[in-house]
Amino acid sequence: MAIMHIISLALVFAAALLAVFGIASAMAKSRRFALASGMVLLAFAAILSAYLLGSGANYTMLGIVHIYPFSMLFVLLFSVLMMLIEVLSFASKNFAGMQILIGFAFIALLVVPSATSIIEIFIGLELFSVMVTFMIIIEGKSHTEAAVKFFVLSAASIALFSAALALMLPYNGSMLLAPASASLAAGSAMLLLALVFFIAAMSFDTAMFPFNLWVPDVYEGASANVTATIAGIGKKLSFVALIEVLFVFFASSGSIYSPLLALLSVLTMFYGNFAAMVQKRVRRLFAYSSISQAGYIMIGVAVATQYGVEASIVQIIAHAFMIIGAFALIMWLETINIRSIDDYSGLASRSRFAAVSLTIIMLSMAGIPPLLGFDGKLLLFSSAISANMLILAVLGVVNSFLSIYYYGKLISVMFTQKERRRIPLNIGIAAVVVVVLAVVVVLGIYPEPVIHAASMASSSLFSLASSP
Amino acid sequence: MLALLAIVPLAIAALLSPILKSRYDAVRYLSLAASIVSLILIAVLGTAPAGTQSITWFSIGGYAFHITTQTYALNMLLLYIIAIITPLIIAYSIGFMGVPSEQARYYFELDIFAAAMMLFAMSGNFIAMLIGWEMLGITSYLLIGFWHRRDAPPNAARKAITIVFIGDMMMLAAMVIIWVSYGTFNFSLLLRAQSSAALYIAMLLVMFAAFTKSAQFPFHEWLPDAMEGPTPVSAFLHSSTMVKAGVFIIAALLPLYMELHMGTLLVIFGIVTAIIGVLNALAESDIKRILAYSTIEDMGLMFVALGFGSLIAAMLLFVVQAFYKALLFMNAGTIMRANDESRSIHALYGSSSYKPLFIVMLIGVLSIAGIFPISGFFGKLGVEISATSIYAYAVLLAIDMLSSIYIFKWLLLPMRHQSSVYDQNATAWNYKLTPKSMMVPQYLLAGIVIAAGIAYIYIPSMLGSYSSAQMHFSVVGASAETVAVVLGAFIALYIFKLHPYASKLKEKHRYVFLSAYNSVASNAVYYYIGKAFLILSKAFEAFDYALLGFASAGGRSFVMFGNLVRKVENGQTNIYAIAFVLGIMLLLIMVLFK
Repeated sequence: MAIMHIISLALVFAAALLAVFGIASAMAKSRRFALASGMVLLAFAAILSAYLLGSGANYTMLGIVHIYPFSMLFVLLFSVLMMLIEVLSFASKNFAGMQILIGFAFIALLVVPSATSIIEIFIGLELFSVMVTFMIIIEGKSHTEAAVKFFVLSAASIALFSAALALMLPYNGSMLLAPASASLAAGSAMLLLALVFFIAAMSFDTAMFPFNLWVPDVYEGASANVTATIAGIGKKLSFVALIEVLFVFFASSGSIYSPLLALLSVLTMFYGNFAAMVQKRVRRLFAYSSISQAGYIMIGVAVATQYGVEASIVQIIAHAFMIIGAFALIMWLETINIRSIDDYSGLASRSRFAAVSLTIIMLSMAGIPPLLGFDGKLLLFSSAISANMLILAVLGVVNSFLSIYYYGKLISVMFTQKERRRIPLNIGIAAVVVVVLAVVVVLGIYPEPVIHAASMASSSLFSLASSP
Repeated sequence: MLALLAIVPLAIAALLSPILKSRYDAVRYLSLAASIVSLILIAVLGTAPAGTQSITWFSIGGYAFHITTQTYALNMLLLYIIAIITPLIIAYSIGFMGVPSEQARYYFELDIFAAAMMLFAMSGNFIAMLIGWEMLGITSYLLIGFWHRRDAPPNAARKAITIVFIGDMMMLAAMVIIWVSYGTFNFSLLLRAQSSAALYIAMLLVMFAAFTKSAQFPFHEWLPDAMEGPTPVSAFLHSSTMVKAGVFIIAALLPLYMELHMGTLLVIFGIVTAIIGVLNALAESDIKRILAYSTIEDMGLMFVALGFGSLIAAMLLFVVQAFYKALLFMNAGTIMRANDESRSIHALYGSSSYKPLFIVMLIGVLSIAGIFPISGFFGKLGVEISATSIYAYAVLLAIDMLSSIYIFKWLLLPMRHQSSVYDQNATAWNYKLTPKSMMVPQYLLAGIVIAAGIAYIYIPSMLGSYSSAQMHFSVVGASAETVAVVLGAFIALYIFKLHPYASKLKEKHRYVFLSAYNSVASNAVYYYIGKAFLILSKAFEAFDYALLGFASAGGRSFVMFGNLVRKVENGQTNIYAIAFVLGIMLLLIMVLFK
């Protein structure tokens, strides 16, 4: 057991060191040092968390870091995703300064999944959203509007979350991440209010309708690597917080929030898909598509069973990789001023790599087998069916069909024949995209590792709720 | 996963082919090296203790789906055959495929094809089997239609894939039935299952699926058309891959067929197919199509032996047929190459002028005809004596005699020389120009064909765990077989060698053998079935248009909604904040008034 303690200490230490090295590289103004230190430490964190996940360790360290499969799976996921973000951000002028933000953001990514109290989750989420706000700004003055929008609306969500905390505390007496005490679970008006405020706050972060109006503007206003961070990591982190609090703290109130979340999920899927259909700019298209994807993920949460959470986790992993890959390609194509759907016409003849990989990513998003997006959706819909929420599954399938409209439109536009100047390959972005494609295709064909890890994570989370 | 490891080299070679597209030499030798590594790995696998291995592909909702491999004697038998033939085919292809620009695509498809067959051969449950099965179907489609710019190959490929897909659907249906009634995909568990009506239907479906792959009546017509593919592909397809898949799956599930008393069905279909095959081969004059019909006949004979419950006899023919058929196709390719790619047997000359080729051809022909002691003899005789009824035995003997006629015709006609000495010399020179890489595999195969007779000794002991029955060749049976074959050879000699104007026979024997209309008739049946479906699809089209109108009306309303969203999302943060508040109110109302 001692070796486990050392490894988990090393994990925490790596996260701290990442922030320290971020400061150092900003002071030295060295982008290379920032990248090297960042990649090494993140890879280190990924290996340690993979080891801890595989060993099935389950204990609390220092009273604040809970090492168990659920947290380790997400720390592993987030460190791998952060490595992709590092590579994407390397092209940015202020990368050395950004490394500080990435370092502190990673602390939030470690804290939220392995939180032992709701306060920790609260602090972690705020830390992350402040870091994201800075990330938007640091890329240049032109992004200020997006940053302000994000900041103002996330302030509203912070306010709601703290209101929820304030309502819970007097009733529960403790903010530990454990099933709420009987008085809270009894179903008083205060509990309901706290639950609603919490869900509303999380709906902002996870972009549920109607709390999602900020998403397209921010996705369009921020630079692409930051957008990838928000879409691929930030939203997923909020889902982690939502899942943790709902299924541990509010574990006994499942019957109350389940229909609520189901409604949000259906509205979000339809809203995202309908709005994506009429978009002219590719960024906004993917913004709306990621809104609808969040709706799919919410299906598993709304199902409120262990199997549903397992399905949500698989879809979270799938979508995180897909959206980062998509925004990596968008980022690359924007450097040569390819922005609108019209600009994408004939892309295949300009860069076959870009067209083919974007096609695979979009097919995966639409849920075409044998890609990872399909596996996630299959699990989500089957979890809804097994929990007797057939209508949710049916609406999910309907939305999958709707989404094929706009993905298919972009794909067919890309493959129209047009002979134009070829686009030179960008090595960093190509590397990110290749990693994403490998994940989407290989794990799509052989999903057992992901499904197994997700089921370990979800059962370890549910055992928290059932233990006294 | 030791067993699956054997596929990896070929898979890697296949994936590297498109990357190394511009360096086609590398692609060829990479494939050759990969196939040899596979051969070594399979040899190593043969020394490991037999057993099943299983990996979980995915588990969902409490059901786990596995990819299971097994390395029992039957699986190893097929694996050895594929592993030995694959490098020879690839080596032959190196000389055969001259077009540099198509190399990468060719080896990509060929490697996948071989890997798919290996996966099929080692499959221990229906999932692994189906993956190999489907990949075989798709890659065979690609390989048959390889020369896609010509007219005939794409049509042949389409025909093949259509028939093969019919089989795939039947296989899937059988899998569903088995899963629903037994809850397992595992072969070894299924073999121990209680028989039931559902199992009978499932096994019937598997049987017909096997018929599509193994080109049995009424699904046999795709195979002669598949001759449009490159010759090495034909050699591969007819010897160790694709057509063998059908026989193999029946052999693997043979105890179930015996238990359900379905052997008679197999015998009937097998004999009908063998007769169709042998008569067509007699009537045919295309050097490759003769061999194709001969394959149909051989496969029919294997099903006959299986139907009589003699796994050993079927597997004996299974093994020897693989080698002699690969050899004969390679010979055919060599002859065609020297004669400007003509395929009509009346337009091919001078095979006797190139002695090495002629000797290996003779070995192949003696084997397929069934002359002692070359391996084909044991295969043919084994099938004959597996017959439990005297009528069946007589029919099988007659089939062997007729097959001896066509195969000697196949040997004798290309031996003739052109009338002009100049042409004779030119053809002889063309034969001399045959690349070494095309001849060496033929020498090796000829050696194997001679030596494969020892399968008679090894197979009964190797398959001892499957069937306790032993095979005894009696002198009477052997001499009857030999007499029939020699008689056939003499008839062929009389008609084709002694007759100087053999080409005039072409018109005559079309009437002699009415079976020449088999192709026409089968294709007409296919045509009418296709036509019936076309009428059905017209009805669906009309329905589809109605649906389209409905859908486009729906689509317009979606777009209207989308435009509404665009008006709301105008970049004004205060509007977003109002939506935020409205959302909270919505949630509260939902919670409070539930």
